[in-house]
Amino acid sequence: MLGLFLDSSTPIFGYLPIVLLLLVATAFPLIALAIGKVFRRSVFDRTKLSAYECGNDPVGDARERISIRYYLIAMLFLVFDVETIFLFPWAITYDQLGLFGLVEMFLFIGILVVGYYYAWRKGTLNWV
Amino acid sequence: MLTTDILIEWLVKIGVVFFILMTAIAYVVLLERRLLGFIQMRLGPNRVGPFGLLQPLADGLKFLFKEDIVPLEADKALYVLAPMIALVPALMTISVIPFGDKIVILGREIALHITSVNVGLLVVFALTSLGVYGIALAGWSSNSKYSLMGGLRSSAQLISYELALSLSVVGVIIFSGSLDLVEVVKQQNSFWLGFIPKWNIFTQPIGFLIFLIAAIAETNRVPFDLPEAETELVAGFHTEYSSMKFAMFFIAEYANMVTASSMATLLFLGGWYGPFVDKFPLLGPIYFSLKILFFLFLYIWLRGTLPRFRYDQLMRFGWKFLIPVALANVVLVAGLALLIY
Amino acid sequence: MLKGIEVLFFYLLSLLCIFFSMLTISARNAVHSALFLISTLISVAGLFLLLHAEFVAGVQILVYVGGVLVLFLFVIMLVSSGQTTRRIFTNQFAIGVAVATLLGLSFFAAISQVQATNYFRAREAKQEVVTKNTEKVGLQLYTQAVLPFEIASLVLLVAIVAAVRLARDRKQEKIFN
Repeated sequence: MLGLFLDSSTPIFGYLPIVLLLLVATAFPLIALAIGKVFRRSVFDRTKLSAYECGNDPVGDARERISIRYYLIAMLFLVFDVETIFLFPWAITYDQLGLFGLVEMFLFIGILVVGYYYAWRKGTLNWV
Repeated sequence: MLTTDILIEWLVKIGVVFFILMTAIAYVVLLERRLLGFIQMRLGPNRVGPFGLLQPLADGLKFLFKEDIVPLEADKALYVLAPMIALVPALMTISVIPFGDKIVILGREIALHITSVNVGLLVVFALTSLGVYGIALAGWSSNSKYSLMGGLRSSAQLISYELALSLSVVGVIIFSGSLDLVEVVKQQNSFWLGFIPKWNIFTQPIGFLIFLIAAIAETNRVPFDLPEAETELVAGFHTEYSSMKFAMFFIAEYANMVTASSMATLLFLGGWYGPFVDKFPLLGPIYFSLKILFFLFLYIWLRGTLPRFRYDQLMRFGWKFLIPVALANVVLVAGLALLIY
Repeated sequence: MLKGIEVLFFYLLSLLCIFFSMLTISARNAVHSALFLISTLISVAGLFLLLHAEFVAGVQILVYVGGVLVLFLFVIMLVSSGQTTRRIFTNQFAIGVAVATLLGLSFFAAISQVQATNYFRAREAKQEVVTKNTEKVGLQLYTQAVLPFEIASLVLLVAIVAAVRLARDRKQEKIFN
């Protein structure tokens, strides 16, 4: 009866077990939390439920504004991540592309290395 | 066609692999504690059961019974969700990892992997890239300064080393010509001169080292355990977590270690291949486990011997050393491949 | 054509996609909003998968979820300190409705136009089962689309330079000039 559902020749057939595993992997922590709820006891205490700050009362909200360096790191990561993604299909077809492939990727990486060098010179890669 | 017996096969495989993974994680924790004990000239946990073998069980029970604290100032929904976001993708990566060739059980040919897809490698990377959110959101939702610092540092560290990680794999893909992990392993099957196995580690040792270092950083292990850094951030992103929710982060970390070890094995150490594996395919999973065990031992050994990086050293090492070397490695391997073809 | 369980997944993912994108724009907390956007993008990746575009689905998650949204999170924490806004949804309800109606109508017109000309159905007939999806992407990209590919790297270069130039703090400006 399940034969109606899906043709095993489609390339996405193999993703169904991943979906099944997603269900199992989600169920596991939920069940663990639910079982724990039965056994554990909980005593309300305002001091215990405050954020940890070495024993002192927490000062202000923790969600202060963060350093701009994190933004820069994420931005650089994004650019180089896209570059890496471009490398994947290139690597797969490399045996068919040959020297031409090497030259075009050399150009591509070369242009990005200019940007990398610029970021280096401007101190973006330093975390001081 | 999706027939009932395929479905049953999937469910059985998922059940077995999931069980083995969870057991392996539990005992890697024990192994780590005992080995660390020996490294530091003490015994480690040896009281619960023979040689402390029941220790993981005791730990699990303890996690269940501990009080579950949700700080009053926390963002409740995200606080509960964050450990699940960390854990679920970490457990899901096992679905595309092949641990052996086909074997025949009860007249039925069974491939030793849960599933094999065309872009298996991409699936692993996509799932591990989701792990950032578990840590970042845990840090943000706890509303504790230590957690936020730990979460932010960790996210920046994870994305920085992810670059080196994916760049180091490009060389392997050039040789295998496929993102399918089964293909990647099968390409390493033959021998040079009849006895040196054609593992990728021999053709691209630089790529292997970069992968190993980046993988250790991705799993937040010593010497890259900045996000936790007990001595300065009091456990970082999971300062506020307790009980089962803490256990989830813990399991996620060890699941990530197992995944990283199996990826290193698949990509560079010939996966399940070893002597006589062609005649007895059942040896495949054994070789595979042994190779994984080697990497896990390496993880623990490093933890026992190395000090922690300082944060600026970590970033400098990642951005100013690993990434340029990884890029150079890609060009180098591409040039080499051109000479061979 | 979609068959059997694929239809189920298609409707499930589309509904999730619409649901999460509505939550994205209506969430009062920016970090929650980002999380809903992540869920939307993952659903879109699932839709790509249903179109047999495995590589694009992977890239969608790697770049958008693993990259762009991390950037968003950092930016949210950078500017707003994550406070919940208590303002009403929008002040320009009438304009919003008008724009939405216009957009909806134009989408409807475009889709019915395409369906009338049978553009996609004609292409579908030719489509064979794609097994080496990524390889096809690679061959197309690195033989026919070399120039756009190289231009893409220039765009990325501009992105690096702009980010570095805009987002330096005083200390960096003092030490490096």
